[in-house]
Order: sequence, then structure tokens, then C-alpha cells
Amino acid sequence: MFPYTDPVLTGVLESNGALETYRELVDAVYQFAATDQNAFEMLDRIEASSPVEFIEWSAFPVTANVDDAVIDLDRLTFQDEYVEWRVERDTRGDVAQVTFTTEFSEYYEALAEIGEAALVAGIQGAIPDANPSTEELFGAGFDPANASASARAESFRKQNVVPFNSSAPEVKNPWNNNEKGILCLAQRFNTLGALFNLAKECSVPNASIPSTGQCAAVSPACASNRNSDPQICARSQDVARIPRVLSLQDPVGVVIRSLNGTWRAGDTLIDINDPATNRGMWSVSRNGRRASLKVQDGLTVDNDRIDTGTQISRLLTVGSQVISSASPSSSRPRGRSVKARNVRLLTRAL
Amino acid sequence: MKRLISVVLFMFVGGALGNATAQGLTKQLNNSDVPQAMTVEELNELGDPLFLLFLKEQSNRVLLSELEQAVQPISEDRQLFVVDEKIIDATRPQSRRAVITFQGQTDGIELKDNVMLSVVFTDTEFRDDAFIEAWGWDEQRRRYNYYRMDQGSWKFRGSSEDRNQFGVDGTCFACHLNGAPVMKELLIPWNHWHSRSSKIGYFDRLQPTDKRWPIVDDPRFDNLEDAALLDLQVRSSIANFNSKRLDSSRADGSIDDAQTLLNHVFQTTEFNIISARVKSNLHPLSSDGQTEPSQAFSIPASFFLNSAIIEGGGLSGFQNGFTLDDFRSFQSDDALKVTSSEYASLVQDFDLQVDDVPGDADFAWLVPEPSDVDNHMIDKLIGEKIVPAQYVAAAMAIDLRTPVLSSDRASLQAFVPERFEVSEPIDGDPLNLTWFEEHDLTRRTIERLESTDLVGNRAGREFLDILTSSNGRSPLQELASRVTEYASEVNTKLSGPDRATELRRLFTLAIDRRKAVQEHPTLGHLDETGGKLLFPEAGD
Repeated sequence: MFPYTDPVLTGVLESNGALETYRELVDAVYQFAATDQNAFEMLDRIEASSPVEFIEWSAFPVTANVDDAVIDLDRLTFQDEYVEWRVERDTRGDVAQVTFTTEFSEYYEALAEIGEAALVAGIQGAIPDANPSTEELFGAGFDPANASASARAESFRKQNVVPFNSSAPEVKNPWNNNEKGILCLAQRFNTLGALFNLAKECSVPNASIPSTGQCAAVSPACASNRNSDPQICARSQDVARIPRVLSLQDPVGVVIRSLNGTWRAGDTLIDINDPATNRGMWSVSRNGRRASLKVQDGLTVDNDRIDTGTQISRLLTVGSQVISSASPSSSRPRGRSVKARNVRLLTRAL
Repeated sequence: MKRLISVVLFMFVGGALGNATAQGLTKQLNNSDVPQAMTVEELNELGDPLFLLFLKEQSNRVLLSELEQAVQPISEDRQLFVVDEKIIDATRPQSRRAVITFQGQTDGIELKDNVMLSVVFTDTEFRDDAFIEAWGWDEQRRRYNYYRMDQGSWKFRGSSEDRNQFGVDGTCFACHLNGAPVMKELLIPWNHWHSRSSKIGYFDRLQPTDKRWPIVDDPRFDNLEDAALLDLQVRSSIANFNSKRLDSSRADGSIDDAQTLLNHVFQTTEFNIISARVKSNLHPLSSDGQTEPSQAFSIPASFFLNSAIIEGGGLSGFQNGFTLDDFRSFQSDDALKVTSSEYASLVQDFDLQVDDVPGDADFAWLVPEPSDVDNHMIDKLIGEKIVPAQYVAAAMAIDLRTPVLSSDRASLQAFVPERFEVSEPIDGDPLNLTWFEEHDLTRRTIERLESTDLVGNRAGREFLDILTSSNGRSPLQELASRVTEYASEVNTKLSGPDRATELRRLFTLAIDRRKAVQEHPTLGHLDETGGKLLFPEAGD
């Protein structure tokens, strides 16, 4: 099995004995996506020195035909670009902080498989002052100490991620439903399985249509009206047609790339992406999977005050890395022998 | 903190000691002018990053590489964007227009959104001595400075304060109609640009050598970016510019150049270009061999009305819009989408041509839309509580269905006073009806309307009726009623037996709107292709 990297590079997976479990979870989605019909490959079949590129998209949920404040308040319905956020307001109702995440739940599920203490350690890596109760993490009546590893992971997921077929989206864990915090992606379309399903379907070479039409052709795996899906799909198709083999680069995930806009603290121009000069107002952590905007010192963007997180999402670019090579490495065969994992196969179309 | 101090010091030193060292820099507002030596006073008025980092000391240098090195020595902090009306044509030899932007700081000067270059490159090289167009934002003087390097020397081509040059042929302001940066195809899908919606294969380094242009081996292509990022940078630049203009127009509780600011409410001072997010697959230079779009698409809401303001939010992101969502929901209704075959038939029936060859634009339903520079100012006027939102709603209600170049709406500017007093709404709500009714701008506009013989002036009478709520409805209620009626009408026609007729009517409107901007005496400058490539033309 490919030695998949801890996506947030904190070492918490390894120090809690969860790294191998995480690798198994991730390997399962790679194996799901790598088929004989497409150009998607397991990572150990692509030379590590091969070209890597970012596919980028806007964090703004373009399909949400509602006001910015509604998008902020209904994360589980509208924030569907593999980016979700939590807005904290001060006593006057002004925005004090916006926290963005692109983390997938698999990271925490791996820790949950090890045990409750490991899971809490992982959560505190993202939210240092978090003190989640057992019930908050796993649901009422669940006894993690006497449950199986897979049952702990499954219970955690149920508490923290909206099921794909849910008609009334709800996340019960207050550390991930914005009540007390935001931990990982929870919206039903923002799953690791959906990302890999997209890459899988879009990397089947199809020269009969323009690559930009591939998204519509593989619907509902790809939703043409989003920001993310068409970009990932068209680029996967372009690369497949060259022809090259491709994969999602390790550590797999969605990375917060840049925050645009002209930022000022009072009258002073701020390079918001430069941690050395931005006074800590924008900080990106956990290997690009988490970011926080602290609204202080009269912070404005494009001369507007910060009223919503959605406003910031318009200026936020995220992306996923793709690695490709002219042909698969022949050094290792495509593997199928790892422990079978349940890949939550999800489609994206509404 | 140390870096921030250095910004202040640098700008102060630049101003105090003078900029007279820029001996290679001349002044030439118009192409037809003979370049003139710049005075010490004129040089001392230049404080943008381009001047401070390069022209001040090195204006005798004309190579692009020297300029890039001076502005941002770190090559990774430069960005390359590419645009061309023939961008999907991979044949060689050809040239393309590039926009180069910068990130980070140099000598403590913020570069992001504050300096941009425009150059031409060929399929094989960036000619180091080719012309360079450039602008820089002077934060201290709140203005854009424009420069051009041609015929071996640098010229200062004027600033955004040169309002008498706006729209004048032969100047930078023939296209920079408000003095601000322009990116015509501003919002997704950025027709004519290399973008995430349309990645250009011959710029793809992964392609075999026979399918990519040799120029992609130029190190500048390490930083090839998609137009989405330039979109954000240009919108930030426009927002910054408008905000500073607004700040400088306020004096002791009054607005002294009301006509200039409210121009953006009533006139189309610029236009942007929008389309469906789906490729037409009908561009004559495309090699895909397709004959229709790959899927049904929604007609852009801004084709029907000024959706950025009337709806608010959305991609444009204006926070003070009216949240009248009839056309927003219209966008997600599959039954109202134009099907692939319907669109292909329209293109064929109207004998659309691009550069005299049958076909359509790269993306379907390409049309002019209200500009970001106009809409941002409207949003700002409301948000800053300078103009009552109800007043803007009244203006928007007039000729609602003509979002671009409405002669009716434009005629109403004659009733706007030269200046007006500004007061704060009691509850802070820019939609407050009492505030609107008592607002100096409202009262003065009504006075002007009432003192004018409006016989034969339908738009004037209508505006007066709405401003005075003569039918018992507030301006916003009136606007909402009209939007709902309009959406319902289009919806009914597209959902019934008249669908084909309605689609033809709408497509005719799209073509007429293209013609209107192209034939406009100033807006027409934004088409730099002689009417051949910016928009598809209908056959005779």
C-alpha cells in the first residue's frame, strides 16, 4: 500500500496509532477510482517526480440562489464546494471571526477507530480548547469503550457528516455544526468519496465530446453548475486524452490556496496572505486545510466591512493537486489486496 | 510593523525629494500628441508602484524583463494571464495579449492589485522590446496612472484625474472610460480568456510538443494563471477606485459632484460581457467538430435586467441589492433552459458569424451586461447611505427590461441636482421610506421634475410617479411588482406554445444589444476588433 501522508501534517495520526487506519481508508477510495477503463492510477504506479498541478476553484457556492446571510446560516444545505465555514459574531452582531475548513471526515474516523481519546486528541489539534463529550462525538447511548473500531468510526460519521440521501440535513456534534466549532466537511456532497468518484468518471477518455462537456456527460457524478466539479472534470479529461495517467496527489485533499481582495486595517494596506505582515488576521493551518480570518483593527476588504463569511468565500481560492505521467510505472502492479473498506460512493448532482 | 513604516517613509521621501530623475519619461496623452518633457512638478505627482520602483530611476530602460525585475524580483510572485478574441485558434504563427500582475511587496510597496502590465507575445517569444502598456495605483493621490512604452521610450499617458480625456480616441481613456482598469469579460466563464472554464490546450506543458506552442517554455508560463484570479483582482481595483472617488466627493455632509456619481445609476458608462457557462461548440475556429452545446443552459440573468443590483449577492456579490429573486430562481428551472438543439437552430437561423465565418462565440449567449464599475458605485452609494435605496429602486424600475444603454433611464439624469445634502437614516436602514422621502436628493429631483414640462416625456412622468409613490406603492414595491410581472411573462412564454417565438425574440434582443454597444460612440471603443471578433454578428 502506498504510504499515504497525514493530510494535516500534525503527527497526531501517527502518535495515536491511527496512521495505518487512515491509509487503509484512503487507499480504498483510490482503489475504487482506479479502474481498467479510466486513466486514474494508484499513486504507487506514478513516478513521484512526475508533474504536479493544482486544479483550482472558487469557494463561493455558486449554486446557492439565496442571500449571503442565508448561505452563512445554512452551511449544510448550501456550502457545497468542498469548503465550509463558521462565522462567529461579537455582542454587537459584527463578524469577529470566520473559520474555513476543507478537511474530510476520514481523518477523524481513523482516530475514532483507535478510540475516543485518540479522537479527542485529533479534534483538539484543530480546535485547541475543544472538550467534546462522548455523546457529542458518538451520539446518545453509544459506549465507545465497548464498541468495535468500525462502529466508533461509523457513529462518529453519523454525528458529523450529513448522509447523502438526507432530506433534512443535520449534524449533531456541536463541535462540527457551528454551535461550538467547525471540524470537518459535513455537507452531503463534500465527501472524499464524491471527489474520487468525480476523478474516476471524468478520467475515462472520451474524444467524442469536448473535455468541457465531460462533466455533463457523467452527471450525476459531476454537477456542471458548481465551481469545483467542472474544473476537476475537464482537467482530468484533458490529461486522460493526451494520453497520460493521473492521480490525486498525496496527501490527498482540498487546499486553501489564496485569499484575494484589497485588504486594509483602517487606512493601512495589508498583504492578507503574508503571515509576516498580516497581524495574524488571516492564518492558514493544518497543511492548508483550515484557515481563520480574525476581523480586527478596522479590517475591510475592497473598502467594505466584513459582514458575512460568504462574502469572504467569493475571494477564496481552493484547489486539489493532480499528478500525472506519460505512462504508469511498471514497477508495481495495481493492487487489490488491501482490506476491503466501505467507500461511500456519493454523487454530486442535486 | 517595520515594513509598514518603510511604506510611509518611502512615499514621503518620494514626494519630498522630487522625482525629477525620470529623465527618459515624457508625457503624451494622445497618440497624436508629440511627447513632451515632464516638469518636475508633474513628476512629483507620480507615486504609483510602477513609477516608484522602475520609471523614477530607470525610465531609459525599455525591456520587459528589466521592468518585471524592478517591480518584483521574485518571479514566483508574478502572474501571467492571456486573452485574445481568437484564443481557441491553435494554429501558428499567431500572437496573444498577456496581462502581467504582481503579488507581495517590493521595497515595502504593496504590489497586489496596484500595478498591471499588458504586452503582446507571439507563439515563440515575448519580444523584449515590444510595446508595454501599464497602469499603477497611487494610493496617496487616489488615482490610476497610465503609461506606455513604445518606439523605444516610456510615456506617461495620463491619470484617472484626466476626466476630460475619458472616451477620447487615441488616449488610454478611449477604453478606460471611467479611469479605472477594464476587464470586459469579467465574470465566469471569461469568454476569450485562458481560464478554468476554458483551459487552452496549446498552453498546456503536458501536451506533446506538436500540440503546444513553443512559448510555453518561457519561464513566464511557470506562472500562467486563470482569468478567475484576474477577475478578482480587477474587481478589487475597481472597488478601491470607486471608494476613493466617493470619499473625495463628500464634503461637509454634502455631495458636490452628484451628476458624476449618479451617472452610474442612470447611464451605461461601461459594459462587461457575460454568457452562459456552457460552450456553444459552434465557434468557427474550434477544432472540436461539435455542432451544438453539450447541454441545455440558462440565459444569464443580467441579460434580462440588472440582476447584480436587483437581486444582489450572487457572483457579483453586491451586498446592498434588492433581493428581488424572481430571475434568480428562473435560473435553476430546467424547463426554462435553452436546449442544445434550440440554440444551434438560433445560431443557424440568424446566420451568426465570427470574423465573417459562420459560427458563434466560444460560450453560448454572449451579451453585454451592466458593468461592475457602474454597479459597484450604485452598491456603494446605497451602502454608504448617500443615496436612498428607494431612489435607486425608482431609477431601476424605469425601462427595467433594458439593463444596458437605456435611453429612457439616461434621460432622467437631467433631473439630478448638481449637489445634494446627505443625512443619515434614523434607523440606519438605507431602504427607510421616510428617509427617502425627506432626502435632499429625492426632494431636489422631484422639484426639477415638477418644474419641467413633462408632456411627451414618458420616462420623466413615470419617474416622478414612482418617486412620489403616486400609486400607493413605494419605489421598491413598484420595482418588485415590475420584476415579478416581467419574470412571469417570460416564464409563461417559454413554458408554453410560444416558446420558439419567445426564444427568437430574446435572441434578437441579444444581437441588438451587441450592436448597440459596438455602435456607441464611446462604448464602441471597447471592441478592439473592428466589430469582427468581440461578438458574433448576425448575417444580412
